Amino acid sequence: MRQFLTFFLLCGLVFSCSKDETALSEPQGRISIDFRHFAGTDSLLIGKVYYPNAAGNEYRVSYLKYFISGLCLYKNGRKIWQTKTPPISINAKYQDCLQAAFEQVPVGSYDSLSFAFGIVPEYNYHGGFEISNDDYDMYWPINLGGGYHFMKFEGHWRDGDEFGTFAFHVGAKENLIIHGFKLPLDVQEAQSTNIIMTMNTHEWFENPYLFDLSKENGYTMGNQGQMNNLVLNGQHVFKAKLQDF
Amino acid sequence: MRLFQTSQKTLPASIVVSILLVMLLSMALSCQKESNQTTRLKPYIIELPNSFPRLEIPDDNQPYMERIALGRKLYYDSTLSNDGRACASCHIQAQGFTKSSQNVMPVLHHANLAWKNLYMWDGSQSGSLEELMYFEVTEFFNTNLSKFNSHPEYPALFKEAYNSSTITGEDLAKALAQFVRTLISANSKYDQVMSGQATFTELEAKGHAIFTGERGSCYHCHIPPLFTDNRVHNIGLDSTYEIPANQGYFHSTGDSSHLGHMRTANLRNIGLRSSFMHDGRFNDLKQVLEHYSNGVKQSPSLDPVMIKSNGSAKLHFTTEEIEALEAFLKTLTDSTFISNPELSQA
Ligand code: HEC
Ligand code: HEC
Repeated sequence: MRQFLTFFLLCGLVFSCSKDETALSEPQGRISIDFRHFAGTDSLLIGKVYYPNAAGNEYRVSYLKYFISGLCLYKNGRKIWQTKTPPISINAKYQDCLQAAFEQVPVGSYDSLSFAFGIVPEYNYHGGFEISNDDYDMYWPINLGGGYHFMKFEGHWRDGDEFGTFAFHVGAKENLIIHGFKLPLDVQEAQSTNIIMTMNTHEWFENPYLFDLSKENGYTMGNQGQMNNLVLNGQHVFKAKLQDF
Repeated sequence: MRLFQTSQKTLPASIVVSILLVMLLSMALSCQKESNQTTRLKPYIIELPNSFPRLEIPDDNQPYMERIALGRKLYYDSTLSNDGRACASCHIQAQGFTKSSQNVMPVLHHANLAWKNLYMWDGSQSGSLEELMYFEVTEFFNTNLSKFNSHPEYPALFKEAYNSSTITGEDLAKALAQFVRTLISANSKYDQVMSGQATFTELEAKGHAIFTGERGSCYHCHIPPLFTDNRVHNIGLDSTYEIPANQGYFHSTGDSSHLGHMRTANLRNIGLRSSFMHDGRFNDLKQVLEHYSNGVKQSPSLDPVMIKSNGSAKLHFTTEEIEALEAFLKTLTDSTFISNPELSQA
């Protein structure tokens, strides 16, 4: 009896040191989303290659970082679950380890998901969630509403002899993009359901708004009109599929 | 659960006590990140200043008073070098842990280094403070470890703080990192205004608005309250980059799009400095502000954020705007930091 109790206590301790301390009342699984970045059909290479956009300029990406937040799962048009995980940043520079993981997802089948490109209002203020040193650069000034940039997409363009820069910055609650996808998701106990989310950076420059970098300035900070164009184009940047093994 | 409760009631006290002891022991073993030796040390809590990002400290070098004191002793001790210099010979507290110079690469000041992950003017070093200190000790100072191991005081101090029998480069680096992590500047007039304990003058307030608004858009890179973004940028100081000293982050990546990229300077205590930029080319703040106003040069690696929405990289500040920005920048001087006796030679 004594040994049994000691063993029992030790087990309890081992568990108490691990991070997930919530009592598992209902069976739970995990959803993980792998983010991948393409310029058209090519894998996006940061700082190296110029890619053609719809307006006929060529662009080279020097920086692409964004937040995603507020993952929700649905069934038959009804929201079943929303994550409590704080916003997650995705920096396209780290090609191979861009995984956003969501734990404690109730087991079950769902038919669609949505997430916010940017930071849902409950987190979007200074101190709204713990920001790492790496993501400190996403700060959004107080006098523009505070919180954090949803995206910094920066680079250089060239068109014949002309060249220049673009800095597509987006933030502020009116510019939050909600992405929704129909995907049959079968979340199983203690298993991970993996989704591959692919961003095509060409899409930021077209459909519906044709961004011609040689004709207009691509510095969007403080320019709600241009940010709105990005929000419109941004609706189509992602494609989602289930990872098949 | 029920089993546990009912059984416990019937257990004699001695057994309960022994169970509790096992509990405590196993807790110490399973949760503690360092060896038992640290239990004798006095823990030190580094307080996170308002709005600072998360402080990341390696598990195996958690702060303790003894370790910080040891790092402080090292910082001021010329035993580290082979030519009579200590860290503090160039990083002088009264000057904000830098040393005034002109037209040469300025000594980088030390303030809030715990929140950096890219170091040196050109961003050529990265990693934890411990890794950076290891570089300082082994490469920059080429420290002779036998001087430490045969020293009258250090072996006992390192034994106490790190339980090390032989002092290694890693030990020196860890101790230095402990002290450098406490060099926190967060009590300038700017900080006091932000926490409601002081108010800006009209001119300072105007400068603050330019700095943190689109008129100056300085905040894009010099993000308050750290006043850096831990990234590298080309701010258009040159239009060509033949001179190696101006090539910046290109040295680290070999990527021509990084030519002229330097790490965003941390503007804390900027009012105490006498030369500016990676090569000390400017000798007063007005010249720096003139650069942002009219001097930015185009080049294929100019930072995208330097070209504003009117398509120009020149901000064309008025004389009054320059004065306002200068007044604001001077509110970043933290007089308690540069006189804090806990940070000076013991
Ligand atoms: C001879 C003067 C001199 C001495 C002595 C010296 N430094 Fe420095 N330190 C510099 C200069 C100059 C730089 C900038 C170098 C560069 O950017 O390439 C610098 C940079 C640094 C940085 C980088 C700061 C940042 O913001 O990236 C740290 C940290 C540092 N020194 C710590 C030390 C330590 C610790 C010692 C003692 C072991 C030391 N220094 C001794 C001159 C000195
Ligand atoms: C695109 C990013 C960026 C923007 C925007 C920017 N800076 Fe800088 N700043 C830097 C970088 C990078 C350096 C260091 C350059 C070097 O070392 O050559 C620097 C250096 C400085 C320095 C000199 C620091 C020192 O220790 O020598 C001052 C002062 C300064 N900036 C003020 C400003 C002000 C005021 C504004 C707004 C008008 C501004 N900066 C806008 C990136 C930026």
